[in-house]
Amino acid sequence: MSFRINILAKIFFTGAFAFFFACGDDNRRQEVVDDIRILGVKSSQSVFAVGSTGPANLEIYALAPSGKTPVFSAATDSGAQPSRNSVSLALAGAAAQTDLGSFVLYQQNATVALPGVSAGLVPANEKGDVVFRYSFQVTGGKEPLLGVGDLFWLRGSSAASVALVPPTITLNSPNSGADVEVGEDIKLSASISGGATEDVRVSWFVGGGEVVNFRAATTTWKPDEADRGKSLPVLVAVRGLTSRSLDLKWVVVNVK
Amino acid sequence: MRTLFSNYLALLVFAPLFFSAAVPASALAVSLTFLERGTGDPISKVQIYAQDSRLEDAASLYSDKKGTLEVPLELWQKLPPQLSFQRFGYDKFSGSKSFLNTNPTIYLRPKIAADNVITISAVKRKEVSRKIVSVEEAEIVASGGEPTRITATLPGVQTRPFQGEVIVRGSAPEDTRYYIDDLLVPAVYHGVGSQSVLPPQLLDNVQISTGGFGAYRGEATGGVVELQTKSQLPEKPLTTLTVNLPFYTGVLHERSIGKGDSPWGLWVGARKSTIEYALRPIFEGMEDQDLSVVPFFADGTLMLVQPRENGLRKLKLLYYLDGIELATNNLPTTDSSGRGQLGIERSYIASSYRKEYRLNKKWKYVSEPQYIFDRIRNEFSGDKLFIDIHEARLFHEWQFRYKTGGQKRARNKLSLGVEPSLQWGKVDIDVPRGDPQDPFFEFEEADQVTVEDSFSIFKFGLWGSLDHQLGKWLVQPGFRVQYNGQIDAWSIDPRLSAFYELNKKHSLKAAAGLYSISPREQESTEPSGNPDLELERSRHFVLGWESQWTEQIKSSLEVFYKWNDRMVQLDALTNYVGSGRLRVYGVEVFLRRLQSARFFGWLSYTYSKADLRKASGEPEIASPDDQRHVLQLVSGYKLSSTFRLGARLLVQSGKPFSPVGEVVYHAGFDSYQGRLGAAENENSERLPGSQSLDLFAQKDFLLKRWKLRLRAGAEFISYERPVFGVEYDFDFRNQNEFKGFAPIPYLEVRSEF
Repeated sequence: MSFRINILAKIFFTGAFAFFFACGDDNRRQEVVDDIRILGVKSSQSVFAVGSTGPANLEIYALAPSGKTPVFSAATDSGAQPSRNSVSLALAGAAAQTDLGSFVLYQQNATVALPGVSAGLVPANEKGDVVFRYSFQVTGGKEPLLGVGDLFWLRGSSAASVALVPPTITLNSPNSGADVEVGEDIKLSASISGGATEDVRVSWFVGGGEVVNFRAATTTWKPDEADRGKSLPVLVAVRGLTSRSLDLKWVVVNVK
Repeated sequence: MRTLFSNYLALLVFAPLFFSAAVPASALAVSLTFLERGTGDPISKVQIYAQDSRLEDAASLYSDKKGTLEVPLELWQKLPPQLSFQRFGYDKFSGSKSFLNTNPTIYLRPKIAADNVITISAVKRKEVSRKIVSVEEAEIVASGGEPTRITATLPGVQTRPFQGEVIVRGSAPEDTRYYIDDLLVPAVYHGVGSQSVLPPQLLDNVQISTGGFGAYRGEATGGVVELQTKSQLPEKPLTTLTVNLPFYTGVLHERSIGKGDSPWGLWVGARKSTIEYALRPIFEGMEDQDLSVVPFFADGTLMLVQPRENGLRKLKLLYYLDGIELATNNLPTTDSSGRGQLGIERSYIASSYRKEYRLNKKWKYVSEPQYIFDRIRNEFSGDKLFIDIHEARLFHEWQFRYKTGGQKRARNKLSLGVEPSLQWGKVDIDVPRGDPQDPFFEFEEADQVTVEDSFSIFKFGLWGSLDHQLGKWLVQPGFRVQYNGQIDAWSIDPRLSAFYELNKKHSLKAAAGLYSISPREQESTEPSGNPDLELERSRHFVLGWESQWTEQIKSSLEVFYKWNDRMVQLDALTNYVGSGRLRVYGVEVFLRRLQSARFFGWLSYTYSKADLRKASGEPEIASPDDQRHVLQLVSGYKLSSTFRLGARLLVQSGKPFSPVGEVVYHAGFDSYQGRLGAAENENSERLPGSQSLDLFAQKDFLLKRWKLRLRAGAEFISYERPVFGVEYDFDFRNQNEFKGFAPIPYLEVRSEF
């Protein structure tokens, strides 16, 4: 009987992983705030019993570099799918401002009332759950931003979601007022309480530099040379993906 | 005293036989062994020459199957002092008798044959748009050396980046069916290097029909790809171990088993990817890496073939496993680890037992019962798609040959066939309902589909066709009846092809027909599907001109038109609706130099236009596979028996893509969602065209019993890197081109021993 062995080695002189360099490494990073940015919406309640008229009291958070002022207005999401029933948002007063070094955090209050009757509403699923879509616009940056969020009427077993305890977040590191060095790996650490019964999403926001994994509760941040001498904000948010809740914490650090 | 002298005498006579190296092992003959240089395989039928003249005294002497040529000593002493040994297909060997007296092993170098002998591969059925490529040609010029991918170089065929399955005349890959003989397989290609499930050693040729195919194939509206396996017994037992660094390792054994009149040919083998063992430690050590991708695959093959005087038996058993583990920071996450994980895995077992039985000169019967078990396991961050499908299918065909007019032998053929199949299985699905054609599909926003249920689907195909010669006409009328029990839908598909021989060199050809395909299981299975769907339909029209300019040069020019309707689309009210329409037309040019000992190649050009309308009232848009121009040139040339050149050129225009129309920020997910905006925006812009040239030079170094092959080349040579698509910043503010590979020079080292 004959026996044959083929040993084949293909040596690529420019690297077999050239593919990874074909991807866009120079894309902007989501954690770096370089223009007016919507950070999220905190709602007094996202899930309502069927037939409830609410209202939901909203706090819309936006972060802007000093010198740029966001302007909030109600809007309509005309491109939403039919099962997102449009409801109106009403702004309440002027936006409150908090200085965060070379940035300003804006908090705009608003309310959303629900229709209270099912007639004319498009259900989201066979159970008859209903999703309400509110929209707002933020201008003042390079381009206008359309922000949207959802409120719910849930039926049957989904109604258990009404009793969800939304997650909260504590920013452990860095400390407020800390000095951080350009080019060094700065530990970013946060801890989450509650939210055991739903999926959560973490988001870090920084005024410059690069965060290794902006979705991880614990990660590292490296400030840029361009940020030397500035006071930059470091913010962390946690969202409950079922309750649609938001908790936001922040500190300001000095880049040396 | 006498005993002592006798012993001494015996010693004198016999001692030289033991101690002299110059004395032949057999005192009665000179024994020479002939082996092929580079493999060590024995060479039979080697003959003795004096220079270049045959020796009459030795005319009846040949080396046997073991390569041994025994020349009786008495004859040997009469031969001239300089001899040569020759065998068709090998360089001659010359040597002196004094050297040959030592009973050497002689290694003959293979020689390239004359170039006027062409290789002919038998086309299973004559069809207007069918092309056939031998596995020898395919292995040389197909991408990655995977012979089944040669279909991508033929007219009417496009590809998508990183996919092995092809787009045929504008039809999506899922509308084209892949057969191994008549075994319908759920998937052919692995993700790693687009290797096919079938080892090349089992393959005889690759055939593709890009439209207007006959009634014997159903449930396809695009094309039909047929991978024909070998039907001849292996020449000798052989075990091949392949180590393809760093991608995979495999072993294949082939041999004949059994004796007597009907031995069996056996092929058994397995392959396993190894690249995951290299990638996992790398990615685990780079936890901060944005993306980690670990593909893996395995496959196994068992084939038994028994050629018989009146037919054939063939048993096939295939195992396929393919998957990918992906982790990234960029997928939406559902916990504080910040890492999204995606696991995709598909496995199947496909089996069939084929019987071809020639009852007499007129009747032939083919049956191939098949069983397939297909398992899909996809998981992503809490979503899951688990599907188990069993399928039992029967393929039966009866053929009757008959004569008409002045035919000397029966050239006409009547074929009838039935194909019942039963699918049953389970689905356990908890996934967002998505439109795979939506370029901005947001799975987090999509409604969730949750189904846990079992299903069964009965399908039935009945067909008949005629191949009838009427003077210079060959007409092929046919019909196919198709039934899908799940949606209780019938179709009756008439088909007609014709060839007209203008003269010995030129002929005209035409085809027209109706083709049907069932909706996919998830589209028609309640509660997430719509059981009121109908079979999708496609009408093919082809007109063409074929020429055989010389024995080696042939060409084909075809004009085609295809119109599909009842194509399944997502619908908010009924989940799915058959409202889509596709219209494709174009022209194909194919110029081919048939394979000979030195050279083969072809030029293929396709112009086509493909338009899609998703529903009445919606605008007509470019199909995502509307690629106007595709030009391919492939070629292989042997300068000598050990030195070969090859090339593959691709020039193609860009495909459409959908620009982002509007962007919203969803506060509930912290994500930016791109949307099409107006319906007219879909596929409204085009990627740039691209060119790609692959060149190689290959040299074999033949040592005695093993071969070293060096192949130096460069892939993806182009003026600019091809653009596969567009990608955006996280907020869609900037659009960037997603480009393919830069030119990659390489050196491939292969040893066979």
